[in-house]
Amino acid sequence: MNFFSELCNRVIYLAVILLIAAGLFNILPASYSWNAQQIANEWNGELRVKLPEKIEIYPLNTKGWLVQQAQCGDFFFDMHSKELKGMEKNDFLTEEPPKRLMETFQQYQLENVTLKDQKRETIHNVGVRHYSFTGEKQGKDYEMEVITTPRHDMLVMTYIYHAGSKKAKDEVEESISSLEFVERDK
Amino acid sequence: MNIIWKLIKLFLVLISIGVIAAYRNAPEEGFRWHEAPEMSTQEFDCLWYPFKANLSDGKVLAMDLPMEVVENHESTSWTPFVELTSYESKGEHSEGYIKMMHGVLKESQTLTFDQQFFGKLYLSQARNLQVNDTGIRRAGGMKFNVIQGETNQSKEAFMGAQNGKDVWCICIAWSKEAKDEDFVIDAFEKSLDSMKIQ
Repeated sequence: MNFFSELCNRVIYLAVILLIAAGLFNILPASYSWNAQQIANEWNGELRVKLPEKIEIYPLNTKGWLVQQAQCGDFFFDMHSKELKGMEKNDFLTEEPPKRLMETFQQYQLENVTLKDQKRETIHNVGVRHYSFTGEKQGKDYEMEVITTPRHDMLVMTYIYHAGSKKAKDEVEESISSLEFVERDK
Repeated sequence: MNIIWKLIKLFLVLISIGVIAAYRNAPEEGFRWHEAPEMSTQEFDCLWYPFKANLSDGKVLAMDLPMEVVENHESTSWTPFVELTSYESKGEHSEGYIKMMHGVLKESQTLTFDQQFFGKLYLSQARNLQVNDTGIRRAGGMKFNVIQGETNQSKEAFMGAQNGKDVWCICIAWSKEAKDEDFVIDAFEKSLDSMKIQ
């Protein structure tokens, strides 16, 4: 009987320890294990963004754009980059959503894409335009956050996640706010 | 009192077993109390380019391609066609390649889709193929005869099907060095699954 009582106590102790561990997991910031990854390499430094998964180069032809993707659990990350000039570049800097961006949404088969908000902002030392969209795909609602920044190449980062997912939204915001240009050591 | 305490303890033990079981079955990246609305890796992976081509009977063949293609009118010499149009992907850094051919016959006749036939359409690309496998694959309501094999640099599949006077041939190829071979094959598979005649 004593043995049984002792076993019960140990089961309860173990559960309490696991509950505390689980509590700590939830308290710790989500990005504690995220890595800052290079998304553009320039002559005087590199542009980095934090993501929970490694960015992979898209292996198929994409109209001359370099496409990189990362499946990040609660959200999907896409980055298109290409050297642009003149009008084509200006298209990414206006208040109107860039035409090329709408093409990307079409290529991901997102429908009823609606622009919710757009603003210019500076994240750390990087000037960007930030667009927020909603869209649908196969009966599911999605939210898309898009960051465009004209560097040597035009960079277009698109984050897609299930509409209403607070966790995904927080993670996307955290990833966006991690964007920074790191100067190379002189 | 003793009984009440024992019942409380039993209740705690049951709850604890539930907690331990949940912890053991939790996803690797950590324990979660609420169901995480994770996105499936299938939700967003491939970029799709809608493709449409008119058939001789007025219908339209539609499919989603994983790559953009460029349309060209091809010579019909050495072929049984009166019209031949190719749709080919162009991409220097792509690990995958697709070239579709749409031929229109003058009169309905039955063609044999063998290596010799594909050699007339795709020239050395098909002629140098070391055939590993042959079979049948249905797509868009058509029955494609498939020849699969490899050359020195790439793995290739040639497919041919006939729908009355319209003949469709598809060559898909991917580099032997492709880092993401499964992704490329999966993209081509999904593309064929999306084919329909409307």
